Amino acid sequence: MKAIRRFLPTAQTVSFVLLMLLCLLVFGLLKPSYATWDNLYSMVLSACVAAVLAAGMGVVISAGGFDLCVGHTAGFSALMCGFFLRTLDFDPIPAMLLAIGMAVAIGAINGLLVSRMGISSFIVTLGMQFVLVGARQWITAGNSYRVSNLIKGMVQSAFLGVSNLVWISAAMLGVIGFVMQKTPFGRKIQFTGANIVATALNGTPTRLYTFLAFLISGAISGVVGILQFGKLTSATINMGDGWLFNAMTIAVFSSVIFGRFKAHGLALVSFLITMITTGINMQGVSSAWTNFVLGVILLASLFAGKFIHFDSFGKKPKRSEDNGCQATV
Amino acid sequence: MSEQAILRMEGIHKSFGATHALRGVDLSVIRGKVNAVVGSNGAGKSTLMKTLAGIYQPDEGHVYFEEEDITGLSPMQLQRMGIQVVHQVLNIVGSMTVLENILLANPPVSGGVLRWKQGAKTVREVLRRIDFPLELDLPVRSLSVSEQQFVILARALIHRPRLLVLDEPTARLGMEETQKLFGLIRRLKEQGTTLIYISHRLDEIYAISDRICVFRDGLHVISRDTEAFSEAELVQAMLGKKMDTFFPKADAPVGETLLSIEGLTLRGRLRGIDLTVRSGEIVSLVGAVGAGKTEILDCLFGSRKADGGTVRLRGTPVRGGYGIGRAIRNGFAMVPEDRALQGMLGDWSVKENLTSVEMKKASRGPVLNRGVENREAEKLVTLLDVRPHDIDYRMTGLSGGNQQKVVIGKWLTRDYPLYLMDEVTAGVDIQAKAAIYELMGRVVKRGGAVLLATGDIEEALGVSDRIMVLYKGRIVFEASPDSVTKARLLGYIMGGGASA
Repeated sequence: MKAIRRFLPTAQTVSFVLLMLLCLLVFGLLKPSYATWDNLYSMVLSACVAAVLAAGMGVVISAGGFDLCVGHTAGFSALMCGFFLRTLDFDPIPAMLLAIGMAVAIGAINGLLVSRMGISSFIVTLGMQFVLVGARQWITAGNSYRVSNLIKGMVQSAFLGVSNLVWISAAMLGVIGFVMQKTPFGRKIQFTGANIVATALNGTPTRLYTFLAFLISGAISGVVGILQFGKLTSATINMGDGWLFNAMTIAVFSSVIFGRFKAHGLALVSFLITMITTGINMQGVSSAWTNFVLGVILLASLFAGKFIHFDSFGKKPKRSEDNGCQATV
Repeated sequence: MSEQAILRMEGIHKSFGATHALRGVDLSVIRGKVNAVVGSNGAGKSTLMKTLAGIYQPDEGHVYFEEEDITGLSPMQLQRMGIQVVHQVLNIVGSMTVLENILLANPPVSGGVLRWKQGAKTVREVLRRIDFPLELDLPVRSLSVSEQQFVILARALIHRPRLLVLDEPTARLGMEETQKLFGLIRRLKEQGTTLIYISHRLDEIYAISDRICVFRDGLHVISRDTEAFSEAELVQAMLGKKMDTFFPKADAPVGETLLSIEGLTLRGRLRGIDLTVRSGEIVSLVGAVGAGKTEILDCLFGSRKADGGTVRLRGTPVRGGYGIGRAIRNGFAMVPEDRALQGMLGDWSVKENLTSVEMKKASRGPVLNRGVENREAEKLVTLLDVRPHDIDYRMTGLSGGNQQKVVIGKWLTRDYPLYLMDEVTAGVDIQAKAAIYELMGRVVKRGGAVLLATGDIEEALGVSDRIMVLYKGRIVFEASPDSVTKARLLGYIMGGGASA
């Protein structure tokens, strides 16, 4: 019986699917073009990139830190790829790898400052966000770049009728979820966030793990940047603005409801949030509404997290209860 | 009886969800005496004191203070009536000064303006009374933990309470400060203050109390004058059953030298420590707070870098400041002093804590495996007798003693030669204590060794093969427990040396 239950969808999953159907019904009635296959598919495409970015953010959150520059790192990676391609005439593959390499370097600098200097990750990554905003202006001089056909093809061509973007995102989510949940490496990152002193006394080099968490987040942001570049087919100067908030909402919401690093949780939450924001956007109302709703969702999930956490005190832990966000957010 | 009793509790019930923490407590607190309250963890002492402080309201029953019904009053109202409770948790604001912390609850306001000078006068007077001079302008953060404890005491005493409740007041104090506190308690008693003294340490209870009230399973089971209460009877009352050997001394053959330390120094802390530990031995380090017990363990474990000296493990030198990971690979296991802060992952389950040092034991190949982890955890939980017997239980939900068993248990996934244990039974009830001593016995029986830092002399005398007394960073005395008295040890600990 227990074995069967493991394969049945949980109450959370079922309620999420119901919420999605409700969204489809409400927004579909308000605007019939919402409930079309084309629109649903384009929402899936947006949602999966956001979910991957949120997973990167989640790695840092579980290590006890915060990465406020995931969105800007991703945008910067896309812009740099375009810059290498168009201004410096690089071939697509080296341009792409170099751009991702820069994102890794950004993560490494964040990681070093936090783990070696002991500066609050909030301050470090906030500062880095401004550095990136300045740097992109200075390097690109405000230019936009068109993507190369190779990168566009890599991202947009379909396999079994579904865009590569979806396959790549699913694979990344799966790998991140697996590493964080199922390997000693991932667990040590989470232990570092849970109690850094006790974890150091367990013999875990906590500074290294903190550093690696930021490095991984940087790398993931870099890849997300390239995916977005291929998806949107051009990189503009303001690329990455606003991605942070989306990623943060998804990361927090998902870990509160589904537990840490459930790949399907990140995907479902990301899709639901995309459904809501797209639905609002399609009503032709001000974008302020979207921000307002996102903010409310973030705060509500934090509230729910506190509530669930408090309620579970002294009882058996369920995976959905212990999320790493409460301590740090 | 009622004339003698300053405080009476009648039929107090208190439940938290399904947990019935107090099940009809009747208790009289005798005027002008030190009333000790003892009981295992979970017996209801803390709940009772929180009820007395007005933090919890009883579900049923009444509390009378000086024959006046005070049931349901707020903490502020109770304090105004002369009831002060010093809780086990340090309620201080680290960034604020000593003066501000002492006057935190009642800032010296007159005419809507804070009069710190006036306040400072009162505070200085109180500190003089408790014989504990402190700089008033220092941030409390910069004080030692024991000094912080006295800051909190001063805060309670500034109101000249008629009833003072002290909950584990010596948990953070060294032996010198403990004696100082006892002196203060005696003076307060002479001035007519009634005290309730909660403690796990039986020797302290016998040293300071006039009367002992025993709690078990949410009930007040017996009260008797301290003189008429033998230790065996007391332990039996606490446990509800007889316990023959309180210190189950392990009989293990002493073998080769496992650890030898020569000239270990740490600036300002350790001044040339020489020490050997042989397999099959439990060696105790005793001393006052700041004498260097923890520092020796820290240097051995690599969490602190020694300034000089050599450490040899089975004859092979290990370099100082080699890092914790290396120390563990070399065969050191560490049970640190502060369970919650240094020992455990509170939000994680018992099994994840048990495999947190050696995740190999929870993995198949490079991947964590639920079945393997459950089996390993199940084995350890059975060995340690963790209650409740549930590997998925959240750590913060366990009692202190069971948490400590798990913290020790994570070092039992493999046989480490040397266990460093720092105040391993502090704040742990008698049953868990006995279980921990038994675990130490297991370690030495299979040829390992334990280096135990402890502030509890009885424990050192009861479980160890050799006792080392530290005083200001030096080993000043070494003895076997059979050939030394408690008084003699205490003399060395206080720096009295041979004259004692």
